[in-house]
Amino acid sequence: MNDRTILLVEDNPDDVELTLRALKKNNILNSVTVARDGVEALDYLFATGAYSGRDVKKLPTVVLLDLKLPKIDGMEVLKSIRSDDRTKLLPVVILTSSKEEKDLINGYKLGANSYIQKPVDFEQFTEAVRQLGLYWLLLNEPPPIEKGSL
Amino acid sequence: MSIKTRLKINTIASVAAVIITGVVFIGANSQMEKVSRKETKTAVLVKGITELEILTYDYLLHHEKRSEEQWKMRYDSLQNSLLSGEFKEPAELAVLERVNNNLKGIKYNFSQLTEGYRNGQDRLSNKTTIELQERLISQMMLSSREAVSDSFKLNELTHRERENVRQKSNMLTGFLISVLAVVITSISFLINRTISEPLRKLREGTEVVGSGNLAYRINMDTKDEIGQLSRSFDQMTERLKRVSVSRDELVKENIKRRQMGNALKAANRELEAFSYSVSHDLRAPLRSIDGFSRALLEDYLDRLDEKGKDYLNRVCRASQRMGQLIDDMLILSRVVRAEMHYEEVDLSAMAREISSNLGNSRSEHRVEFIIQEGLTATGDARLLKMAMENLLGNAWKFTEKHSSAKIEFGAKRENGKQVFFVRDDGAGFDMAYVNKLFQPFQRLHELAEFSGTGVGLANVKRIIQRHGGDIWAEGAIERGAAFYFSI
Repeated sequence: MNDRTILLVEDNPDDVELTLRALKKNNILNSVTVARDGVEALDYLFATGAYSGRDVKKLPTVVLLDLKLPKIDGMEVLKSIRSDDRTKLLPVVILTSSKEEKDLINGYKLGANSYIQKPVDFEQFTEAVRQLGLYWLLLNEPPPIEKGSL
Repeated sequence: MSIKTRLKINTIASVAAVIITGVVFIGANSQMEKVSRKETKTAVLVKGITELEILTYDYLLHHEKRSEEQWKMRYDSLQNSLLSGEFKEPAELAVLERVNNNLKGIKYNFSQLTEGYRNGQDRLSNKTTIELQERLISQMMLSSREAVSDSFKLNELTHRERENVRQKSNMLTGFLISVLAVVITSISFLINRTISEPLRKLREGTEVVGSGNLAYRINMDTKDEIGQLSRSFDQMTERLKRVSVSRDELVKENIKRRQMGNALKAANRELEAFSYSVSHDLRAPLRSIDGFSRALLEDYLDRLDEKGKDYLNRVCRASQRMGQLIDDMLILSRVVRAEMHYEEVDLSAMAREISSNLGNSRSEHRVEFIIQEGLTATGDARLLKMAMENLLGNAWKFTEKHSSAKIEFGAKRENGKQVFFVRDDGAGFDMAYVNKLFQPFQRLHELAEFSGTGVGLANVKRIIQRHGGDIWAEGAIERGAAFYFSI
């Protein structure tokens, strides 16, 4: 289970802190990589820029993606993930404050695997993160890494 | 007088002119024919008398019986031709009388002569007889000359008459043709004037109106066809003006609406951006407030006294409540801008579904639902469901404090319109505050008593209004509330 990692794409440090705390409280001890904006997230996934030394084949088990991000927003990140052969099967969960119908529709259209609105109530938030971790890290069987794909 | 009548008169006048000219011509012709017959008669008379003279000479030379008989026959035929009634004029009759008398004289002389010859053939040498003969002959000669001269006179009279008739008929024909020409010309002139002048006015009018001046009127008051036409044209212009005025107003109204629509669209876009930012940006700090307050409560519990814990709990509740307010506000703004999809909605079925959901959620609360069957309305199913959920949810909420409760959904007719209602026998409200009921974030109960943000009924009102309907409420404290709405 330890090799199953999470990529948290979140620009709000409070939300990062709260998410990490919720994960810890639920004993989800997998390693979490935090990307503060869309560019950093894509750099990490495709091993470019600051992450150029990273093994591109080591993909996270799940990406928790906020929508409102600096530089490149969440929808753009999702589009890039889905349009690249290496990452097009990567599970992506949109975790955002917005419950706008427009965002929901666009998110699913672009191939999000799940869409969760961050509740204001921390208890509910913790519960959501718990279920998220349980589902995506334990229950869900991730897509196999394709041989020869780079 | 109408143009048609005028044209008719002109046609009749022309035909009359032709007929009158024809009649005059025929009359003149028959006059001439009569004169011609007289001329023939006169010629016969002259010829007869001349022949009678020649026969007389013949007899005098030969004294033959044959000549005598021929003479008598000629005389009889002359007498006959004198009797035929061609001549009627007094002058002619006088001449004829003279001719007749002369002929009678000639006859008498000739008879005397022939008798004398027959009796005294052998006494031809008789001097007295010869004298008598000579006298007779000269007498006869004389009479015959006179008769011939009279005949010529008659001829001359006839000739003069002929000239007279010809002149008269020429004059009459000329006069009639002139009169008719004057009549036809003047009528034609009148027609021309009553047609061409008004036609010019009409043409000018149509040009003015055609160039866009719809206020112009031809105003022709004649009673003929062109007058009628111009009046019809004026009426048409009037109607056109009215239509074009209403069209202009329509265009103006349209432009105004388009501007309003654009402004509305802009406002909607702003609202959308605002609500997006509200939903995303306002919730994030709330989450932090709530989250870290809880972290404090959890991680530093041992360092907090009761008061400190209470304060942190208040912070948490407040932030949660604010989160709820934000969510309700977003719903309100969504209700305002949601697109409407009209369809037939079964409100009874909707009420049944909602009531069974409510019944499942809180089983301790005993409520009797009375739902009238077969109530439908045309509207947006999603929005109507939201309204029904709010109304029935409210009824549920405000009956919770009663041990047993009744919630009713039904319809009645009021002023010919179908009015739906949701009625309960719960906490009710004071009618003095009925105006505040539908205003957003206005509450009639304390939070501790009944939960809620006060947006629900505001949402219901917006939904009903968006359907073009009306909503109002009746209630009394602890005696229930009733909400009525029409769609």
